[in-house]
Amino acid sequence: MPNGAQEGRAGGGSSDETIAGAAAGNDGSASAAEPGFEPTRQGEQSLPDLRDNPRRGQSGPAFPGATAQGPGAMPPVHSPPVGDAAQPDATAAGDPGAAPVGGVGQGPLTNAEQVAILDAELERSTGDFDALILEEQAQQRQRDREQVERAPAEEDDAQTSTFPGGTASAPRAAGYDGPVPGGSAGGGPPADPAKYPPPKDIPAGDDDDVVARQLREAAMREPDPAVRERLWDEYRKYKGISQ
Amino acid sequence: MSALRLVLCILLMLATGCVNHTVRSTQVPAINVPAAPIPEAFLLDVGIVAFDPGIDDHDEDEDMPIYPEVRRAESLFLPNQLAAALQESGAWGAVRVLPDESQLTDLVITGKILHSDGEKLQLAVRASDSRGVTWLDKTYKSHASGYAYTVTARSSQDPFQAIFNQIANDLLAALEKVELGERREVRLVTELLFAQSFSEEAFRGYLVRGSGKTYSIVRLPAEEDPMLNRVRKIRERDHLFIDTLQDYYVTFDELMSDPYHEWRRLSYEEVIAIQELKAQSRQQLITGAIAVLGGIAAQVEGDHEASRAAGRIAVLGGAYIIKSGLYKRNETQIHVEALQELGESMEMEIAPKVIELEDRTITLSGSVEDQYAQWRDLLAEIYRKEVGDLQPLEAVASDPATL
Repeated sequence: MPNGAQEGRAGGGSSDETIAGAAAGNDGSASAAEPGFEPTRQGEQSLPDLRDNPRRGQSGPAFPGATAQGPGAMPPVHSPPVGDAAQPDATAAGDPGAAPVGGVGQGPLTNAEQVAILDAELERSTGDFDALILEEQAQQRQRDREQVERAPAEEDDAQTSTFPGGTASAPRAAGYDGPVPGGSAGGGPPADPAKYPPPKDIPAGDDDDVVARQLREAAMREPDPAVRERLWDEYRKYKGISQ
Repeated sequence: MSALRLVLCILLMLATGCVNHTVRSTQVPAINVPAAPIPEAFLLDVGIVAFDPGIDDHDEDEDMPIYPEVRRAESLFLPNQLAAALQESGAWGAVRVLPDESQLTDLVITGKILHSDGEKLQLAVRASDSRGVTWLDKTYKSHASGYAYTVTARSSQDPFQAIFNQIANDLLAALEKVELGERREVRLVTELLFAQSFSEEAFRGYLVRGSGKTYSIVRLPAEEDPMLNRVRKIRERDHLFIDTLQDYYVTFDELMSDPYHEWRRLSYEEVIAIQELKAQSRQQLITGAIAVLGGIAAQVEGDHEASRAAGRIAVLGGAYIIKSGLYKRNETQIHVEALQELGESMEMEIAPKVIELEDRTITLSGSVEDQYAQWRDLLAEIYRKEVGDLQPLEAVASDPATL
């Protein structure tokens, strides 16, 4: 069945694909559903220090917009006090850069406090995102329901469908129900039904292919006996029936 | 005397002719399942990217026309069939259809529709994991049997179910060659790549890309890394977004299923008729040409009047057969036109559904991307606050091969 060549390797073991150090062992010992990570080691410098440390006057402005202040200068005073800093509403919605930088009369916020504010902002926006998705899912369910309700009506209208197979359950004409010229009309009965029985020497058309079926149907619908006989002759010739 | 024998042979050939039979197997390979249940921690998620419709490189001069809207619809419909086969194998985590390759997942499957007309389906399929290791790169081809389009058969499976089952089995075979540790590495790489896509600064230096363009893990963040926890929250939302898209695809699949199946059934009949006529025409042209040449040879070289008379008959018979062959060749055009009508009708039927699906996908993706951009800004700000004036990983970051 497949005739292509499998070029890739499954798994593989080249140096490019191996796991460095103990990052991921092959012992399959991980137990969590999510991939595990190595624990923090004391003295490692790879992670930021989250301890509260105001470091007053140590660095430049913490946020864009505070650039007018010199190093160590007090930030603007339009922010809530530190005690309220973690409230999501304390920040300008959707703009992390507009987070407050200090409390009134209490000095600038520490980095950890600012992170807490930003975390609260992240939390709020994930809630908004969840709401957006849930609303979209609700709309989708509504569309599905409407689709189910529309389905029976569409079945009734199947005869006017642009595609012959617009609805699988639509009734079809006997015999060949192939393409409809101009892409119109559906599976309803033909305008001129097959009403002229085939001659005695014509076998049942069970094994007819498309062309033979078209010939047979055309002959069975043809009212003119002479034309009809010519069509049957064509049919016999096509099917290899000796006359 | 030899000329007479030649002519008799030719006449016998004319009388008997040849009949071609195409044997079509209706056997569909069963979907294999893992020998033992795979622990959840080692299940890989699979993303099947909407297939390439294969419109761009189609040769306009080919007999069989293709219809862009039908192909676009197929590019969304066929991945759904493959997803169902993969889910049935029970060897994978979540199996989702993705709008494009930008979504990060453990194993990504891409495909291109090389041929699809109801009679034959040919797909080029490639699967690679998040490390960049290729698992599968194959071309699959299947011919449908007429039985597949009967009402009873249709209710049970797709006419080309064999292809989807075969891909599922090949992927399972590839999976079984990947050790558990490697599977865990794949999951970790996916998570780190996702984390990097949201906070490149915070997750720089954990992965390295080797000369083979595959990722390896250099080190890992701490399990309680706050930035990692934030990214994991975002990733849950990303899964939510993709799951919502699955609802879109499933609905589209249901809407498309009936008209598409009908189009394939009718197209199948036309394609079979064209193939038969072409085969008969080719055969008759060859036979007629041989008869004419043999007849001429008999007339020229024949020693007896009987030989020359037989030669004349062979020439006349051959000419008649050639004429019949040419007639059959012209007859194929009728079926090509029928196929065109079918394709145009199907396009009219399916195009609004494809456009609606694409519009909805783009609208939701746009909203989601806006939110992701905000989160990236937020995480960058948090990272700057957390790191302060530290300059960690400076040495690692200076290495251009390290991401």
